Amino acid sequence: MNKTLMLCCLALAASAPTLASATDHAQLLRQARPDMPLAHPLATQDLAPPPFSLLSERPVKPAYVPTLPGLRSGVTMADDFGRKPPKFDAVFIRQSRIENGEVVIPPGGLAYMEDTWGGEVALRGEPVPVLGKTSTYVDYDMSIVVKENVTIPAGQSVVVGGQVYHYYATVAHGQTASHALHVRTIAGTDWEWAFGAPVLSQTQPQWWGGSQFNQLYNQGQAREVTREKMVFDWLSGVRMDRLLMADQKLFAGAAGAGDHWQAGQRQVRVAAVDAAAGTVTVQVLEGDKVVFSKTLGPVNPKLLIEDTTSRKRLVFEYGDIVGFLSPWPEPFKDGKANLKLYAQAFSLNYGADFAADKRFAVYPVGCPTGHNFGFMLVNKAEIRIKPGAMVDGPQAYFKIAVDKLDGDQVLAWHVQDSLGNKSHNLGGAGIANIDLVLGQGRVAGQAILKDVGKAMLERSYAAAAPSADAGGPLSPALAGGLGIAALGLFALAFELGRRRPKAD
Amino acid sequence: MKRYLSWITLAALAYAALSYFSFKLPATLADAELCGFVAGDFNADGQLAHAPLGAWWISFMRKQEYWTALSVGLAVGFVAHALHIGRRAGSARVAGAAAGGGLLALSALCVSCLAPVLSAVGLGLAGSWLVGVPKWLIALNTLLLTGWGSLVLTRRGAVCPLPPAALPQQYNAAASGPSPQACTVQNQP
Repeated sequence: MNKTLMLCCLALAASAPTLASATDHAQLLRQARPDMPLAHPLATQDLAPPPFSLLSERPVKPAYVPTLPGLRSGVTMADDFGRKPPKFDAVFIRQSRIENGEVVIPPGGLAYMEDTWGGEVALRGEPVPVLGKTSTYVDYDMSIVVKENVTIPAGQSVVVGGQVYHYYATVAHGQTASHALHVRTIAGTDWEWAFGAPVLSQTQPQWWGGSQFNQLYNQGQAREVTREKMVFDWLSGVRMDRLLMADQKLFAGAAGAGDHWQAGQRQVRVAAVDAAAGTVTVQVLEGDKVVFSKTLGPVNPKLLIEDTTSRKRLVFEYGDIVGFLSPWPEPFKDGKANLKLYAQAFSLNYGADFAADKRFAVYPVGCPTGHNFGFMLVNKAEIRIKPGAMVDGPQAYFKIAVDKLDGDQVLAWHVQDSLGNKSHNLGGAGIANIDLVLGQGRVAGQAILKDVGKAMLERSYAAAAPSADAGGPLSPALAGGLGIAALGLFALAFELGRRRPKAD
Repeated sequence: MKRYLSWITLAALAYAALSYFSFKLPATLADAELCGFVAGDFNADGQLAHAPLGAWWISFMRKQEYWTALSVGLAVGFVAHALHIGRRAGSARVAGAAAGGGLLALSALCVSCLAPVLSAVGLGLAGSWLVGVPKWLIALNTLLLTGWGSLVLTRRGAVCPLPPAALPQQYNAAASGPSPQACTVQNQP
């Protein structure tokens, strides 16, 4: 690592708020069972979430596009064991506006999301779409962020780690009340379908969970719960810090000592297999020189795959070469190790640049189980689009085009895929932004509907209905109103006519 | 006439005051959209960048609530005018005018921003039908109908004096115009 890079890393580390505390957060968190350690390490730094993670920052009256032919919608890709959760592409535009004759999308306002329907699981050879290509999801780094003294005013939300806590509702019963907390991810994944919604109450102590809740490692301990606010002694939320992916499969199967595979100028070799000890030693050679060696195993089936220590024991990384001792269906058979090797590996790090298009930052989306729920790519700099111009999404996987503005109205705009397939015109009279929800996955097709579904339906209906301005038929109500006006005018004229003095 | 205009003004101002006191600062952008706000009205913290009075005024103007205030003022002023003229115009006619004025005021309220607040009395149902009628047209209709009604009531009030029993004694001798009997005959269809 050169000096410049080291200085950059140190500067980055110094700029992120630390999570130092006199309290041992590991003692606060509750394990599933007394004999289970915390699956993920505690975070030492509080990394900023992507912009517009809060509930109040959802798209405003957005257009809805189900999908486009060149985007994924419900595409299934089987992992090494036949599991195939459907995959979707999603695009969101938040907080866009018209300014000086241009459409402006603020930093973070344009978000692409790999919007999986089911959790993405490491060590299973699961294919995960990364825009136009499909990579293999190998491993991950997840941490638990704990924040102390957190206040959530009623109706508001806060971010902890990669999770968003939303004080959703108070329900009164006599002189008592219960208070509902919704938990979502930074992308909007709503965990209610999986874990329900925590309900806290200090006035109904024999119902609910009192003042504490657990959603695996999303946990909290409240000290004050009222109609006005929830005040937590501490709140925790998991954060998916890194996804380890790979583009090339080198090998998958039974490997014995001496087996080797070429990865460019390097060679991956099995140095030794000790089935009795449950270990296999893997080496990477450059020429005749061993530049990397690691003994993988043994497998701890009771704690896999969430437990970080147990999982990392099975995985090796050397540059862009990665691999692992597969625990399934069995790690060893007939004296050989069940090995999976990959090349062209890369990482998607929380908040870091997306290497393939550095205009965008990447944010993996973590589930408190330890599964991954897709990733987001959000624009780092403000985007300005003049009428008649278009802007590329990440790697030009899709484009946003503004066709016609009229003052503070976007009369015509559309989104199109990389094949040139366009949505219908999403603009029109009264449309003041290009906020968008595109897709049918777990977020775009389900969770976000709870927040903006009504506005999207109203907007879609208004766009589809014939308008009076367009010369369409009058609505019965409007026709009635005009009829009453005509009658009123006639009656008024008649009455005034009666008052004119009659000529003798 | 001056009294009539005062009633209209007072009723319109009362509606504006009611609108102000029932106005709540929207907490989310979705709520704000319903009140006529746009993303540019929010600051970087996601909070509305206007003081309560300014926010209400912006919402009042953007939602064209001034038409509703005018409609309510005209309708309530007309009801007050009809009741003031009283029996001179005929009690059935006054009752009809008051009911008509009330109906006009109600129709204006149905499409106003107060409708959700008042939905307990069923305004929402009528509002959903009237939502296609612009507020300016409701105001125009109210102006035409109350104008016509006022002219009719004024004409009838001038033609038919109050019966003698309703007037102080000293005015009976000086009462002019047709007798109550003539008026009754004249009122028959």
